[in-house]
Amino acid sequence: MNTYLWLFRREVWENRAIWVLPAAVSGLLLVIFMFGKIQIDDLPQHLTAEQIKAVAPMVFIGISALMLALMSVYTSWYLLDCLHADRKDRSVLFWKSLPLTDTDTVLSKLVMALIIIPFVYFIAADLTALGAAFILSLRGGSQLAGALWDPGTWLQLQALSVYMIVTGALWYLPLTGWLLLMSAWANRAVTLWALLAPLVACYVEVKLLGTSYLIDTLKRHLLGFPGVAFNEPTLLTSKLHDGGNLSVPRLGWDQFDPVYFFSSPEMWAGVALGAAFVAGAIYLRRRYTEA
Amino acid sequence: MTALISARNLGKAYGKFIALNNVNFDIEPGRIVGLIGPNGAGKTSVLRAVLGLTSYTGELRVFGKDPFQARSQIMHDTCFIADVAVLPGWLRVSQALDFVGGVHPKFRRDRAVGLLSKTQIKMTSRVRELSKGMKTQVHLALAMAIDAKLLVLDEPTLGLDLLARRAFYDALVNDYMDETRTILITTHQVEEIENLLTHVMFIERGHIVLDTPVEKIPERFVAISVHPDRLDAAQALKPFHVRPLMGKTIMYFDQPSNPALAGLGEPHTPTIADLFVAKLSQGAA
Repeated sequence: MNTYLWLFRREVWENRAIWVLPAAVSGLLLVIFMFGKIQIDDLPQHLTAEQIKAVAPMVFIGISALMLALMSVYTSWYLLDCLHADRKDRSVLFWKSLPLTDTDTVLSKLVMALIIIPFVYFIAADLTALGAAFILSLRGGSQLAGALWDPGTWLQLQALSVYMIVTGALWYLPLTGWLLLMSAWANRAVTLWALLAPLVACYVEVKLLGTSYLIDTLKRHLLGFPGVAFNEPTLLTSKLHDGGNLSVPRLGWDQFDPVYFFSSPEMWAGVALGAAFVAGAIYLRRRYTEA
Repeated sequence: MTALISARNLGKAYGKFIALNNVNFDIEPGRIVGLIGPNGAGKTSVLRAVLGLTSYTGELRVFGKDPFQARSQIMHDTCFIADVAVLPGWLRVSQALDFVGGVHPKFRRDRAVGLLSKTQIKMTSRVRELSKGMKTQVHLALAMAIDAKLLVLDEPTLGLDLLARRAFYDALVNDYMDETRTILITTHQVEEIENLLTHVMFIERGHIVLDTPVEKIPERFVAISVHPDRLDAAQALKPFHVRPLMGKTIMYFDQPSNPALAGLGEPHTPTIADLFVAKLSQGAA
């Protein structure tokens, strides 16, 4: 266990962006909330108290969504780089001269990508949300402040983040494993290989077999996460005006669908495939020197 | 005495290229073994197999274990410095000490700090800010602070200037080596380690062509600066290498005790470097 703590520390030393990037974005967002020309002064005038309560969580959901998007991009980059960088700068043999197994090394990077980095972003999103709520309360008046500091909203926000981290890690394990595998395998142009290989495979299937099973599966899996982890999409938003078309994202306990998620065969099939990719990355990591 | 490293029919092929072919050797504790051979002879393949960095055929035991299956265990008692195993540029010296101390049970931090305090290297420096010689000093300080039984050095001084090379080997002999340790070293600069070694192994095209204690060399080989009028007689005794040198002819024989060699000329013990050239030219002829 102690070994893993050192391995995680090592990753943070090497990739300072793990905390610098979310901290910088968080700071930037707070500056925008502080000085930006947001028309919050107008909102309370033509919205009912009920509507303000519905709108307020939007701020938090927006922050979380932005952090989540940033995290996805960064984590993908991290995964592609993590087993390639030390082969490129030839320090891999130094790491291999220490009493660490290749399994430990690869798993430490996997845990970084699946759990530690997401939690860093989760904390960054939370702190940003806190700061934003504080700033908006001061700028927006008591009615908005009341809506922003609703304990139920905050609890749901935390639950949403943790639920997303856990289910997202499982659902996207095949993608994570694939990126690790490419990082362990390709000697150059890792990103290109990671993108090109599945695209070529899809193209070949369509051209040779005339079917599109692979590309359909890829598309469904990459985009299908909300549908599997959450209840019907209509529950994700709420109508702002009675009978109107304007709807806003909302938070609610009825959105989570863990039973459906954890009994999804596609999810477990993906986990199995992802585990196989990770095992492949470990295999390649052990043998890399033969190249 | 049981061997620290023992290889039986060790083989390694990269596709059609055979890097190692039925290599056999034993290395016992307390030795400083030079593994010497031309480029592509299989030196690095031997070291990589010993370090568990590559798969192989045949049998190989390091501390009685299969290195490829048990690399991390072998690394508890093994240190490895190679020209190709550089420290990563982003690493700070203090972080290197922290990390190695964190994952290596036999690392003695005070010793590494002591060694580094004799140098100009700052603890807060990143590796990329250091000169090539300083990088090697950091690496050597890390390696020497580990109470390892086996130290493997693969061209450790490549790219270093003469001062840094001399400092490297002095530190190795004075601060590190004792009878409980074993060093396996490869280098092109044979002259530099000549006085260090207790044993030499010559490797060529995947074969071990010579494996001998240094002290046995006088009993096994002799170089004779042959008198010009005895050249034919000397040739008849089949020297394994003939080297013309500034008007003289030096012939190398592998039976120094042969009485027929007496009187051919001035005998002397060949240096390891001479022997290396002689042995390997023989193979090429």
